[in-house]
Amino acid sequence: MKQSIGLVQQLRRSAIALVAAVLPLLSLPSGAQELQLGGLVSLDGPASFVGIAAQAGMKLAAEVINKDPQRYLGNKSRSLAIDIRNAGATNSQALALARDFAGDAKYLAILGPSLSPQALALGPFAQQATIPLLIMHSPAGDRTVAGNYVFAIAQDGERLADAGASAYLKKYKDTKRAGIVFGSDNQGNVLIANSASKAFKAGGAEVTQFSLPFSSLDFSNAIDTMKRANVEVIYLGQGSPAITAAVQQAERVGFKPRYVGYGTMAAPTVLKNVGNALDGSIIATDYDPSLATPANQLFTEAYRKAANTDPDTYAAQGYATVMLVANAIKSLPGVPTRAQLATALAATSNAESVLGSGTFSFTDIRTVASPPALLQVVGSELKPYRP
Amino acid sequence: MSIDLIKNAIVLGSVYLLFATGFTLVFGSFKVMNLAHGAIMTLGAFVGIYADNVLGFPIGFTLVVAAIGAGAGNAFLDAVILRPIARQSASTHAGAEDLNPIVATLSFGTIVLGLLVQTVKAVDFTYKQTDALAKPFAFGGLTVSSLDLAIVVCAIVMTGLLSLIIAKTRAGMAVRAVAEDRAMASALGVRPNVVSAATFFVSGAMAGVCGVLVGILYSNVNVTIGDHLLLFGFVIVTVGGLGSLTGTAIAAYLVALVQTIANAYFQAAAVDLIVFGTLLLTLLIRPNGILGKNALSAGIARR
Repeated sequence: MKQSIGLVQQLRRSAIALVAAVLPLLSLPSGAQELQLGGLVSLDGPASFVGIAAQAGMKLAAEVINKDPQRYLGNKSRSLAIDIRNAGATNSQALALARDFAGDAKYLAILGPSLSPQALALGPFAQQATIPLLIMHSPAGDRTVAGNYVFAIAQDGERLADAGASAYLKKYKDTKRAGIVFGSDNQGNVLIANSASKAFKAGGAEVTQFSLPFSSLDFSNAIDTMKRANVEVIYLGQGSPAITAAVQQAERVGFKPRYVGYGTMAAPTVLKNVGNALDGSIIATDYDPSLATPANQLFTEAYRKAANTDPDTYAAQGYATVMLVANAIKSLPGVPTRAQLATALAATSNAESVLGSGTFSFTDIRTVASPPALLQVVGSELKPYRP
Repeated sequence: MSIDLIKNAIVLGSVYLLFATGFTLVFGSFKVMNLAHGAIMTLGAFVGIYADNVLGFPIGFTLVVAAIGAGAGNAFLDAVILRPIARQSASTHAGAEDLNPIVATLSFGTIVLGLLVQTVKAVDFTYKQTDALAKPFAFGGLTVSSLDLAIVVCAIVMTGLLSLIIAKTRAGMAVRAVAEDRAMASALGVRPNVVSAATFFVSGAMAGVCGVLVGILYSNVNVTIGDHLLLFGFVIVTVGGLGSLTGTAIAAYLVALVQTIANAYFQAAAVDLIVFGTLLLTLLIRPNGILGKNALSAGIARR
């Protein structure tokens, strides 16, 4: 009797296990293929503004793709899912999450991180773990992309700083004194500051530097130093909230230099908060909001609808990263592997994108091929700048 | 050292003073190390953001509303959490050796911040109605903004008034009596719970005012703005002598001066080394802080 009860229980357990295993399959259409990506963005800490925007961009891209998988993934039975996690502000947290993604075969690639020190730390890991990593904030192109599994979809910071400072000097040829304010405890920021300094010096300007903690919002000493040095232009390599703080603090003491910066300066929130204080400033960045392409129009309208605000550089990067992965997947038949995806990504050439001038290609070392977009601030609005 | 640096140190010191005064007031009165003080400041800053961004209040009203909001939050902490805990442990706001209040305030602060994160997300906000504070004034070679002046005046007036109230009024006498001996004060007709609620309210209100002014000064309000100040506030009240308002004021300006000079002349990485090294040295020379008689027992009443 006992034996037959045990047998019944065992059969029941087996049946439940079988149903549990089969149910998820039944819920998908026959032949359906869900492609899973891991997302790593910083949702707190001093650069959360980057991560939050990138996350919104990634989610939007997944929505757009899943509405028309035939067009974006090359197969109507495919769909894309992104598991976005908070990489925080430390390398260790980003690495731990990257290990989770790499250790689970269902994740095809990692999108992120959105912080430059994390990008430098994760590159070698992804290469070793042979999982494609698409870095969204790259401090130094060739040093960021550690191998054939690592891709930088963002312009590298050194290149942006050089492009911004050089473009400024072309517009304001008589510049004699330039200032640079940067976070000396942020590796990416130091590289950017050095590059801007080199460009200003090459243009004949005398350079005054001031460093402070990357997360600091107290620019009083920096502003006084720049004011005493009588600088005409300041390169601000900080995050968007810090740029707002710096510009407003300078205004409050009646100091009105021009500024040069990158994507953090082009954020709609910065332009809205500082009014006309950035008028005349030059910004070298990945994303030109005025880009007149159908892809950017679709992105901008969908983003405004979803987020109730205009997209910034980081939202565009998040969106573009997912679109690039989709574009690579589209070229792969069957169930793509990580290695196939890495190869397909490396072959990306003139893919439709909201970044750059509307198309995206990787260089031989998997950095961004196109030059940065140059913008100028007119009043409180961004306009394309053609030197 | 330039006059600009001194001005910046005075402004920063005033921010620290506004923050640390409420912190030391509660410790001096009830021996409670209120680790929720940073979160209370953040709460005040967000109440201010609501008043400013949504209701469109002028900045003066915003300061009052933020003070009331943060004060109420701190009074809630006292009435709903600290007092029941004190009753449970059969002691009234037990001494510093009792870790429960520290854990309770830390937990309360974390919950407040958690709720704020859920409500406003990790988004940065800015005050809009601040034109009145954006005007620069030139004094010789020195340019000072009206915001700088407002911060310094607020800090000095609020701390000065508080010192006067505690030293010269009946209300202050009640606070000193409760700080000295709660049971005896109660026997003499002082209502310790009312004194306690009022003290926590005033402490929170000062933090709320600090939150708004810091939010305007740094053009940002987010859920992390209190973290940095809590660390410095903790250091300042310890160096000043726990519970001593005058010591806190001296320490606030001393820390700000050291920090400002270090910021101006050294790389960011060296600044904390210099600031905290100086503070450690101060404590080695004066273990009870600048004006502290006994680090764990000197209260405002003993000044």
